[in-house]
Amino acid sequence: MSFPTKNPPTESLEDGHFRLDPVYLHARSETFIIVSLCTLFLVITLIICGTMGYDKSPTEIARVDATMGMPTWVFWGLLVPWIMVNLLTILFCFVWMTEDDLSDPDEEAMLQKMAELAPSGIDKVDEEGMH
Amino acid sequence: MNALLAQQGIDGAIVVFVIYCMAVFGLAIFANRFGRNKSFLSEFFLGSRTLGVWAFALTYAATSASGGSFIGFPSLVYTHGWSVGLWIGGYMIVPLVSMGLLAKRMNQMARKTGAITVPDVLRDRFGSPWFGILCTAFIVFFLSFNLIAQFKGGSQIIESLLSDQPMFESAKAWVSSTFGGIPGLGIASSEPGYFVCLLSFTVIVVVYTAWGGFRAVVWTDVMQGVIMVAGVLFMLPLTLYAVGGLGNATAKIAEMTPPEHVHLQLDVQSPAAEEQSLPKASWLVLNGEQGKTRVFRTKQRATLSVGETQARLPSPTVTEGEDHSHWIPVIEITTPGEIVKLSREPDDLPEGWRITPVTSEDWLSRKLEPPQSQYAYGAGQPGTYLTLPGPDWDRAAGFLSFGLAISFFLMWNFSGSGQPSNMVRLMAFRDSLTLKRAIFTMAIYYSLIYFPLVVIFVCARVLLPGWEVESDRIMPEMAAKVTEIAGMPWLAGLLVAAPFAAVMSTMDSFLLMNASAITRDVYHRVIRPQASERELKHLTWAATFGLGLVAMIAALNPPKFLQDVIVYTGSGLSTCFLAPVFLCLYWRRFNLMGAFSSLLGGFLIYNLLYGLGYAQSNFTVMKAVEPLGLHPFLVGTAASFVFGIAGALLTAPPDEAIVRKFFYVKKET
Repeated sequence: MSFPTKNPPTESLEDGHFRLDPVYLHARSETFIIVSLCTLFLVITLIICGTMGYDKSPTEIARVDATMGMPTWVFWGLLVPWIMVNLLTILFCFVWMTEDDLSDPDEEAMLQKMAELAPSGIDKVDEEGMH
Repeated sequence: MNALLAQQGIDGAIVVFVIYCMAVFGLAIFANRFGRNKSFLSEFFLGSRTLGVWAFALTYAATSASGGSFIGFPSLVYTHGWSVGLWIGGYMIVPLVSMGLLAKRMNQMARKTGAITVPDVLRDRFGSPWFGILCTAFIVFFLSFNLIAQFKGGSQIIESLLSDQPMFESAKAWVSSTFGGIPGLGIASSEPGYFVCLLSFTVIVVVYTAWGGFRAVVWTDVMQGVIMVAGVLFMLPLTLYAVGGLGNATAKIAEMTPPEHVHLQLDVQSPAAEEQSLPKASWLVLNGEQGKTRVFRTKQRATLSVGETQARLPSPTVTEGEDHSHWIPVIEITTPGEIVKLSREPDDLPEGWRITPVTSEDWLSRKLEPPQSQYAYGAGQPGTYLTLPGPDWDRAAGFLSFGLAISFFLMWNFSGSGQPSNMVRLMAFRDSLTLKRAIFTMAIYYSLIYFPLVVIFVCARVLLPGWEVESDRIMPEMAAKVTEIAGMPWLAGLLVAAPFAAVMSTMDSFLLMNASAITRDVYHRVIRPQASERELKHLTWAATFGLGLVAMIAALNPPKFLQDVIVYTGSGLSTCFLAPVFLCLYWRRFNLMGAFSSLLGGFLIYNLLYGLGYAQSNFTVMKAVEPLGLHPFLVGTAASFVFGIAGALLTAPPDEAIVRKFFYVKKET
């Protein structure tokens, strides 16, 4: 088994004529936010449902603890977090998430692929544009 | 009382089904014309990467929402009450996680390489045709089983929705007489309803998928997505109106206790002169000693044959060498308020028939162990349908233990991200503005579907008691009931179109995915890279028709444990693909060895857990071992990440040219 003797070739790439792809950098930080939000709401939901909904005694059940017609643990543990997630999703999509250009600047590669996909593809690229 | 539900509302189901199919075919024809002047493969399998907001959001959502969302899920809510709300709770953030996690990078990488399929992306990222072939093999392996299971599941759902329809009964009779005698088609006479549905279902899905390709699948998904949400949004107010408000329903549910499962003996005094039958789901009321009233509902059809004095089940039920098919399985309602209400209505017992409950002593006198009659959790506990963990027949810890709740929350979110059928859609949207809007649209869409479905089918417990005997039918029954109460029975036909839509939108995607694996990943990229467009077009059609035909033939005699197979293959694909795809998109140091380790590691651990569980059950139940109560998907995915990272770190870094291509851009001068 061969152990690597050097780190990924990032230094040499960044030192030259290249820089890290901004789409990659943006997507990476957005992924971090998404995973954090998912963890946060997992914890919130389970703490509320765990304390308010699990293993009630018969007397507690008989009291029919309800909020807006549904069991209180459902209201606070599911409905309210669900609404909060939707609001945060709006915030994420329209404030945090960067509007990146996903198209590939390397036109040659694209033309080559189009030619590979269809023998007459290169002609069609002219007619239809790149996308 | 049974007749009411059998007759009302869903008479229009066949008409709705036919109209629905015509619309699907119309969209397929239009999609075919639309794509005529475009590169065939890119158009057929990816819609030329031009999906807009609605198409992208709804095709993603509709593909994820299979028949289970409108048949299995309502059944689950009905059976276990509000606890299913937490079971599905992870869906609150599914749109953000399953789309947002991989979408941008997946789309960008697919554009960089001109990739059409997921193996395309992986093959180019690691510069290894062999890895591409391995990925294709995994997809074909899991999806082929899934395809068979979905064909069977879809046919069963359509059969369930169309049952009792006169036209459907005629079709069954014709099929039975026409095909019943053909060798190998014995199912046409033993289960003609299933055969009719399987045949029609296969023809519809295969034809529109082959004709219109990805674009047709997406457009039909959009239509199906609209139908699904419209069905739910119509049903919610009708249901709340029918139960007199959610608060009223909750108060009634608080009194409910789970039914008991018992047996009855049904007999007559003198031998029957003509055959009589008591259908499945018939209500029976027994006014017993000391004024105690008992209410039962049959779980199977019982028939009293000519010359007999006891009704029997359709087929012998043999235990320890003794046939006790004259003991009819039923459920017994245990909630006092429901017993009073139901006993006031006329029951379905034929005239002259007598009811005798089978007791524990009866079982013991035959040297048989009395079967389980009460729920393992929740029996005799009022309020169990309102609280966690929820009543459960099998599990003494209840339906949803705390560990399982964590497990499902994570599983819904991350297994969706790892599905190749979802990843393909991430390669097809137009630009990042479309992605942003689609995530938002899908978040609203899921909110309008899943939480309301929980409310509707919790309320179904109040409106339709006793459907534990066949809880998979609760969706069409509720559609019939609430529209009848609201004085709009014609609307029921529209509501039952939602399950049709859900089934087909999943099926077509899986079929197309398998066809692309054969045409693009195997034939075009390995066997004949120089294949002409015309050749690829014909092969694609042949693959789509061939796969549909094979899946249909396999579904005639489906493998054992079919529902378990769906779960196994669905989460198996995610277990194998989530870690390698995530790492390949976000980790520059990730290399070919890491990808191999990740893919194979996830596959091995996942199958090891299933293998151990299967062995533990003495090879009778396809069930996995769940370490610490965690679903095998979570354990397998964690292992896949560990194997992938270790495999990459212990071997040489990837080639600089590959890293540059996928992670760097040229500096502007």
